[in-house]
Amino acid sequence: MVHQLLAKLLEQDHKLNVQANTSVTSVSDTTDKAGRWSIETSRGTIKASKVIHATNGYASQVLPEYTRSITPIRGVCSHIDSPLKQHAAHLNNTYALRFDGRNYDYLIPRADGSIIVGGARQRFWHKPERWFDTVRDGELVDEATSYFDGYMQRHFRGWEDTQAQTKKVWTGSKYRSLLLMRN
Amino acid sequence: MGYSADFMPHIGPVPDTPGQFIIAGFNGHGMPQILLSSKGLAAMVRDGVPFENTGLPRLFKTTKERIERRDSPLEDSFRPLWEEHARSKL
Repeated sequence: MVHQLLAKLLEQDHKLNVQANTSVTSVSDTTDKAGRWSIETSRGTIKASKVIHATNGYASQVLPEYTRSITPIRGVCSHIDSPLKQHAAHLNNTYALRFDGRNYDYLIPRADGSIIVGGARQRFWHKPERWFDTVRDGELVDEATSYFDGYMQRHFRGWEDTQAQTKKVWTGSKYRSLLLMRN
Repeated sequence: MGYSADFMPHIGPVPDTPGQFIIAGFNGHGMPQILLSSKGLAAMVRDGVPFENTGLPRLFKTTKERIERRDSPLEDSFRPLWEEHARSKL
């Protein structure tokens, strides 16, 4: 969806300059005489009079005053598929399976019959060091990885004999740093 | 994802930093909120519309008071779970 929005903007004549895969490392403490902030990026410095921090969990990395008020957290997600696609009952909706006041999983069925399932909080939320105040989404939360095995068979009628299995598990801080500039 | 200490997103001018704006801290529930939130922020950035005239909920406004707050209802909500686990390891 984000890519489509950006593509539409690029098609219009807004002189929009998108720098993908470019991390912002810092914004200057003061402006220059023209009132522009200096933004240090992995591809050099740019200057802008207006800066929007649309950085979600990464906000405090560039705006340290937000360290207490916005904390990056790590989620766990999986992709479940059945080798016998024709035998799996197709799910028409997205779902959230809620187990108690704190724990729930979310399910996003794909057009090919496979399912994206995220959650597994029961496995690791009691250990803050595994998910709270971390952006390390290059590593798995090992305690959660086996959570998704047999998930569809356990929770959905008609899936018992589908041999649905976990194809992939990943973690996510979900968002890369992205700043939008307007000169 | 970004979890905020008081469960509300931070939107609007960064306090004491004229020309910088923030739209962050949606607690994992950004998808249904970011489009209208961004529309409100765009009015602030492009047209100088005050936050209060954008139609955004006042609790979403980023303020010095919210940023400097020392306690965290967010962490308080997890503390029983974390402390129970810490005790179980003893």
